Amino acid sequence: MAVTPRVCRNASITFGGNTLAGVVDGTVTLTTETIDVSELTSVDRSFLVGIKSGTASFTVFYDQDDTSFKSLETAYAAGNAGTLVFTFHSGATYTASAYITSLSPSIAMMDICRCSVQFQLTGAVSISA
Amino acid sequence: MATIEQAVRTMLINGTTLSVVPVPVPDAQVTHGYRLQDSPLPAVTYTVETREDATVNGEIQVSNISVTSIADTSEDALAIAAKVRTALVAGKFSGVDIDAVIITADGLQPEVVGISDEQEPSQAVTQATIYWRT
Repeated sequence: MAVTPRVCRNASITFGGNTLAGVVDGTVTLTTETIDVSELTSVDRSFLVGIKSGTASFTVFYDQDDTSFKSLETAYAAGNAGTLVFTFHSGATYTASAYITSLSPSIAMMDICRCSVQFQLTGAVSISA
Repeated sequence: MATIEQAVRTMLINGTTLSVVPVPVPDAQVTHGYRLQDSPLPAVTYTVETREDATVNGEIQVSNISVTSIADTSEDALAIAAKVRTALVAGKFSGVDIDAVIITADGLQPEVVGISDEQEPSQAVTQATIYWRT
């Protein structure tokens, strides 16, 4: 079956029920730890699957007047987990509970204000298709 | 349909920024793209050079624009360019929300003094990046 390229214009990110406005880019990273079970006599290393975890990040235009952006600052200050949903295209979502681990507003010469936000996912990640 | 080209012109002629002294530029002499060689000076021309998505969903667009202030002398061209920089502001123009304007460069091409067709007016070019949405 052929792959269908999906345009990012249909993608969206919500956190705590708020759909983020002004999203410039975003990434979800799911990782699985591995356990080395190689033996002294092994020629090739062998591994078992360990614990899974994930992080996510995105960059948005910084605007405190925007409700969705303000909710990020509020969640960060409170240290509360919220439901993070990355929608890549219709029906394809990654959903997890997440804490904001870094909130990085930035400025640069001849540019507009942006903010990169990083999350630690906690618990299972639900992938729908 | 609202276009960014219409919006930039409306932004430039908004109020009296360009039309007041010194070196008043009438609204009719603010044109998109080019001016006729024998049309009166001073004048302002502008182009929208690029249009790209600034956000993933394309709600916000980013464009680079170039505004050329044309006058008989460099002094006058620079005076118009100063007013152009004042006119380039965020706001709603011709149905387009211009959220942010960043002036990125200014340049001056002095007038060429000569006989008849050899003469060329001075041109002060102001370049800006604008973030906008319809």
